[in-house]
Amino acid sequence: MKTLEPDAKFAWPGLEQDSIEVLPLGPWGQVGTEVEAKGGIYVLRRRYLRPERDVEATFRELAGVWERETLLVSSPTEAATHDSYQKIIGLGLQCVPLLLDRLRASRRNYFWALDAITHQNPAGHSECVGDAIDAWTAWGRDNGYLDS
Amino acid sequence: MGSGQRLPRLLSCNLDDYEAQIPNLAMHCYLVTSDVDPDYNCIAWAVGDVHRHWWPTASAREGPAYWPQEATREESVDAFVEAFATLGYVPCDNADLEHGVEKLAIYVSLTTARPTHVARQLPSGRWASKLNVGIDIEHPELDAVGGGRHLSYGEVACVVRRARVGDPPAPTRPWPEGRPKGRPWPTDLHLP
Repeated sequence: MKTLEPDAKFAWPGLEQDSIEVLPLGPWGQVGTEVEAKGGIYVLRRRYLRPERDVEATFRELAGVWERETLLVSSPTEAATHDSYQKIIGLGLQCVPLLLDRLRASRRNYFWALDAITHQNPAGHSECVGDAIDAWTAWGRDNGYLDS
Repeated sequence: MGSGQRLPRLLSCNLDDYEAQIPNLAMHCYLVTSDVDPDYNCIAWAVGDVHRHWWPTASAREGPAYWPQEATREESVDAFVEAFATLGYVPCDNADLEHGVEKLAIYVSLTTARPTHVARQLPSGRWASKLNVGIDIEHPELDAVGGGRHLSYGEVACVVRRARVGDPPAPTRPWPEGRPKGRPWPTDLHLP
């Protein structure tokens, strides 16, 4: 098994651009899965799903607005129905690495967005923010969204 | 508690932000007692828990939160009273300072009537509030965090009480020396 490297995206012997489905950014679950390609089996890594610059800028703007405007909101439901939060969810899988980074830096409630986008909830019934962040961080690493 | 670093860098420590969202703050005395800590919320702070959020979430996907099993999981004053009853609090009809008694004030939104905030009365008669995941403050008057504008916490809909037990928890992240501490009250302020 070989792992695709960022700069060798289509340079592996026998691997042609059309031979594997690198893009689009989904469906979820594609990251880390083995894919058949000419000359061998390859593993897709998160780097290929790196968000584009405009997505990153959009995410940062939306996250900043959401954190500021829900600073005093205790209800997760009310916070998650904020317009900016809904738009973050709308960015889809490409913002998962950004969400995980932001979650770890701010410790704000991005759990609902991660659940909505990935259909996963590794934090389960955690009661503590720290436990939930640890669970999502491990999930992110296991699934190629965060560097090990 | 998880091992994740507790270093929130993206939350506001600027008191102007809080006063902009709760205009009453700028018109009342208050003292900042703790730095930002997103690992617990105002309900948790009111009942002396600095390790988790208290909220009647309907499902785990809403994020990590604790709510007593005996209490109804809904955003209502009754559900909050039920939750506090598990700790020995019972409803009472006033927020006056009473020797040996600890009171909690439950705020509700003026528009939705849903709980927004809980403040805990200190032995001094002042009230301790954590502003959601932000700073902790003390304020002599309940109205300091109330009101209907912006993100203000509305009005007090219910007060519960129990015999005072032990000392309240210490702030997890002390407010750094040298930063403005809010709008401290006059030293000769006497509470009723």
